[in-house]
Amino acid sequence: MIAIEKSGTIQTFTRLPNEWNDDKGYHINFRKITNKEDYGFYNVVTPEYDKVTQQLSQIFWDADNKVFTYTVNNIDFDATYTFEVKDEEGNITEETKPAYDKDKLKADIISNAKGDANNLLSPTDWYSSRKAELDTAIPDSVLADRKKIRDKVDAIEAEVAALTTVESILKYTYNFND
Amino acid sequence: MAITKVTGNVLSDDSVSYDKLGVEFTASSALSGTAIDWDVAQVFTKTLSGATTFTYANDEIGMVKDLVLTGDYAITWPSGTKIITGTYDGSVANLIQVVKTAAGQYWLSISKEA
Repeated sequence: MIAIEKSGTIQTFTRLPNEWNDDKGYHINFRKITNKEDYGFYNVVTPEYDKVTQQLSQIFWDADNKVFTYTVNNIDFDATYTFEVKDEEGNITEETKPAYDKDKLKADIISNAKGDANNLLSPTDWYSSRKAELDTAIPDSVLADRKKIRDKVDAIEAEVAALTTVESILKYTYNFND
Repeated sequence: MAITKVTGNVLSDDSVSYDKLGVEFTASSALSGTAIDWDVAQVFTKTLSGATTFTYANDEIGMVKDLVLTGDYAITWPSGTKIITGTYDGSVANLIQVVKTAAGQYWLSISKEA
């Protein structure tokens, strides 16, 4: 990726534009230039960072290294936010809540896991319907597969319940193919 | 006495033939440098050998010039240039037509053989 600062704004490009207009004139076949720096284009250096626990700053010009880059900042998982609440009598009070609600994050994971499990179970639901209506036996392999899916949800719920930090919750993943 | 000024009384309708036009309308010139003198020819040709910055001389509003350019290099046109249509293709000959629409304003279209 490359970037250029123009009128105080940094524009990024995946590669040089094929046409470019600047105070030197209107350039066509611009990708054929041999030295993009002559026109103010410099490489963008994106530092390595943990996409769950860190975030990048706004892009900025690093004059020492002659590149556009970012700084890496740790996300404050203990951050809170305050908001106003009006009670029944019209009194306004302030409440503070964590920016990252662990219980909500956990609930979301479990809800998603149950949704995924439901999608996996639905193709064989008709066996259950047939069993209920006609008392036709469900094949053992189907029963085993469906039990495995439900057991996996139970395992996910237990694992998620045991998570204690926002970071561990955000990094938690599951896979029904395990 | 030689005629030094043409007036409507001298020229009848449809009387100016191609032969009577100046070289700026009739000639083709192979550009050796990067300065395009609009008085010199109607058509300019050039094979680029590197990144090229063209400049204009004697360009007047309403004039149209044709350039046949080849060479896969970056080209810089004078400030005030607007690309109306087309994309330069360095692998073939490109016909570039430039119209001076106002002071410091050039509208440019690029085409090539189909």
